[in-house]
Amino acid sequence: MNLRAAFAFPLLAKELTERAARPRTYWMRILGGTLLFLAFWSDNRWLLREAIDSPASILGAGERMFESLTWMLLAGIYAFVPAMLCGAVTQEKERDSLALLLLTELRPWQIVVQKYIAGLVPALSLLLLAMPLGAVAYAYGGFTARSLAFTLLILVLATLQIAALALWCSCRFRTTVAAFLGTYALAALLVLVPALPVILEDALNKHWFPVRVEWWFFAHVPPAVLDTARAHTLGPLAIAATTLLFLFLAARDLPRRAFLPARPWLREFFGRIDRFMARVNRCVGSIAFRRKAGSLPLGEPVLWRETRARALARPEYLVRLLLAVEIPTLIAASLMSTPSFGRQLFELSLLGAIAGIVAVLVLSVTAANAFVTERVNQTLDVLLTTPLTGRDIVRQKARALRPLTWVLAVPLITIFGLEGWIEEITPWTGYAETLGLRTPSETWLQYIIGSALTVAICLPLVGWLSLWIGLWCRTRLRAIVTTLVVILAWSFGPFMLLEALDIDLVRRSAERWLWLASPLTYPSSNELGELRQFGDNAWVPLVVNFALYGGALWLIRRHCLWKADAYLRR
Amino acid sequence: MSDAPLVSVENLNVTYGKTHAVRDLSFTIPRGEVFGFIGPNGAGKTSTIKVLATLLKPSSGRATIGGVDVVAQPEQARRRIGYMPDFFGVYDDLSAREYLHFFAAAYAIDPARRDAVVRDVLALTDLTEKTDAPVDALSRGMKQRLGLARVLLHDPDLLLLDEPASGLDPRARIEMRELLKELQSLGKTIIVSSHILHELGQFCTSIGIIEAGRMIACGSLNEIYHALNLRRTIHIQLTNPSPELAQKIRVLAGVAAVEEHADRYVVQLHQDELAPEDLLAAIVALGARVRMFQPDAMDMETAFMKLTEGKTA
Repeated sequence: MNLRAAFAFPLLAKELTERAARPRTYWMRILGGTLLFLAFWSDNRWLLREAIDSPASILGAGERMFESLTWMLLAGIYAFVPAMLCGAVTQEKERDSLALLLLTELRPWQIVVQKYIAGLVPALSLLLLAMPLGAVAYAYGGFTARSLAFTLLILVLATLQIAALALWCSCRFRTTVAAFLGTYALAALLVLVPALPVILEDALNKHWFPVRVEWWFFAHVPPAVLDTARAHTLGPLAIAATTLLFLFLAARDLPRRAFLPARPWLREFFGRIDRFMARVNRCVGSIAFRRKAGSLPLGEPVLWRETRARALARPEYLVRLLLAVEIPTLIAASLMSTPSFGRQLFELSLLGAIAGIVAVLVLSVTAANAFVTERVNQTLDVLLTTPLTGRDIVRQKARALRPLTWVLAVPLITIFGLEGWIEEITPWTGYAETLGLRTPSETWLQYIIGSALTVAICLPLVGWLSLWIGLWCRTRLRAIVTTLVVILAWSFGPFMLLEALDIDLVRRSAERWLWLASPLTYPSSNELGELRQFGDNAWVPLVVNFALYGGALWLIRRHCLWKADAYLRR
Repeated sequence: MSDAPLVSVENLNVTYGKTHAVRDLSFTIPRGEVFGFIGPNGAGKTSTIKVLATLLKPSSGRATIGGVDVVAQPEQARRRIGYMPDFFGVYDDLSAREYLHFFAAAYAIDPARRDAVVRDVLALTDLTEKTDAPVDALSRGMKQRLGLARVLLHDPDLLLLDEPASGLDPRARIEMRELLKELQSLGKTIIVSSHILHELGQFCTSIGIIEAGRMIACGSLNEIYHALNLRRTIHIQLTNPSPELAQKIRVLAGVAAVEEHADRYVVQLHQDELAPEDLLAAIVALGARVRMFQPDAMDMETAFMKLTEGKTA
């Protein structure tokens, strides 16, 4: 091979040309830059305003600015880079072009490296966008050039690491969605598994490792490396080593897993349980809780097919899922509620938040995919030539989501119920009382009603919003990413905007009601006992919030049903 | 049965952004016709079929099925059509029976009749043995037949078949062709687009040739051949071939050319000047002893190549 051929990089050239031709490349850059500048302004507005009046007064405050910028960038890297890389190989698999690539002279590692570099270009451009902000922070001083260089190095390494992990998942999994979710699951495992000894040590209140050694378990995790001043060499080395490992695994898995057949693993898993239960039933007398195998649709064919086809829609499987989720939740929440564990309201709130995030993720991904799957499998056109109206199709798809919504709601209700119960039997105790936040007007009944309404309105709202986005998206990845971005923007965007506009929740003015523009405001205020910030009567924010979000739910639902035919391009 | 055409398309235009996919397309199809819709890739066939299937709104123009406007009354139009796209569009996680019951429910067929209807269409498409087989276990040809069974469920007036033989092996193609002939004999009106031109020629009663969104020829096969002044090819095997005899055939009125092959003569006729049966009588009169006399099917490929230039919209 001559030198020119060795450095031809045809795949890289093709990838970059493709990306350059897509308008969304530029839109994403504009969006990323706007969000970053808005977040930076929002977080540092007091300092920056002060700087206008007397620049010298904030000398040395650059450290705070730089720290906030660093964490924003890390959040951006973990939010956007997996989405940029996880489709690199799976999209080739999905359009049957990977075989053609593998038949060329390109070796798997060359394909991986060229795909990797092509994905890194937009990912690293996010970091470039932050350079002017870094310069502003540096101008105000407070940190050394060495610290600046080290942070920059870790940010670049974090980008390389998560990009390599996403690329490995793209080589390993069959679909882009699986690769996207797999990247986050593996990233969580990558943090949690090595950290287990330290977590156990903490939980059991033991001291197995010296503090210096404890840190080694997190040396490959960029946020942990940034958070500590120690081991400046070990951290970057560990991150670089894991990056190389992911790239090696990607090159190994690329040919091995190039032609994976479709495997509905959840259905297969439940199918095995079915067979096991059938064997058990023969011994104990045929007790069965599942749909008859031969049932056929009568009136609502789309609903019927949804509940047959998706493992997360079949009633018998959902009951199993409910038990699998509810029993550990009940045990954990009950333990936290007992006096011996100190009735930890904060931990219960945290558990509720985690259950809520999981519920929103599962529901939004499932709902966003409801129509995209029909499009991808090319079954939508055929369905649209039947006399079923678009409204009927959307309504039946939404109804198929209801059982899953209930299953996801039950653990949340359990946790909130236990919290309410603790507040009832031991009024003014726990987290809220510790912080002195509860007021006499906020009773456990208000808490329970507020929490129940949050679950009853917000989950269907997430379902309908995701269904709406899925109605006009053409690919699974786009539907999922758009849905998550919209949910995140709706949840956190108002906070950033209101902070930037200096509208404070604590200030007693009519403007504070604008905080309810974020669906997170009421549930978090309810959990932390902060509803008094909306006035002395805690029923008022409850009514306003749920009128607002109930109205939003009604409007989105009505819009989807009304415009169903237009969205389905009939 | 009324004489009014079942399908009427008037000045149809379809645009995708700046691309003009269909331009002022007009044609009519009487009941019971099998209309072959042919054209190069990107000519506008699928766009036209999608408009008739109520899946695409035209930019202008009008299309009606049995007098029902597909844009103004799409629900009524959907009850009159059966649409089979050029991809399978099947739910792999269902069995053949469940798949058909799903669509029977979507077409609101009386639940009491559904079992019988499903049984009938499965029998018609020769899939009875595969009733309970999962759809993803069916071969490509069987999936295509299942698709055809689906479009027959509600007994539509008009079948819209977009490339039904696409990607099928020779056996499956022949089976599909036979099935379409059977549907033709049942009186169904069919619009079928295909690239396999000689197969279309065997069962289409009329054809429309479309290129760059415009209809460039439309009518019965004979009308198109006559309009194009096309030649017809006849293979003749004689027990007493000779250069003199070949020369005598060459000078017969209506004969365009005679090629002398090792085992046969290949004679090109001007279709409208000399009929094959008259040629046979003439060569017998010239003293030829005929072992084989085989006119080729009408040569649609020649017509297609003559009419089109490979342009796309």
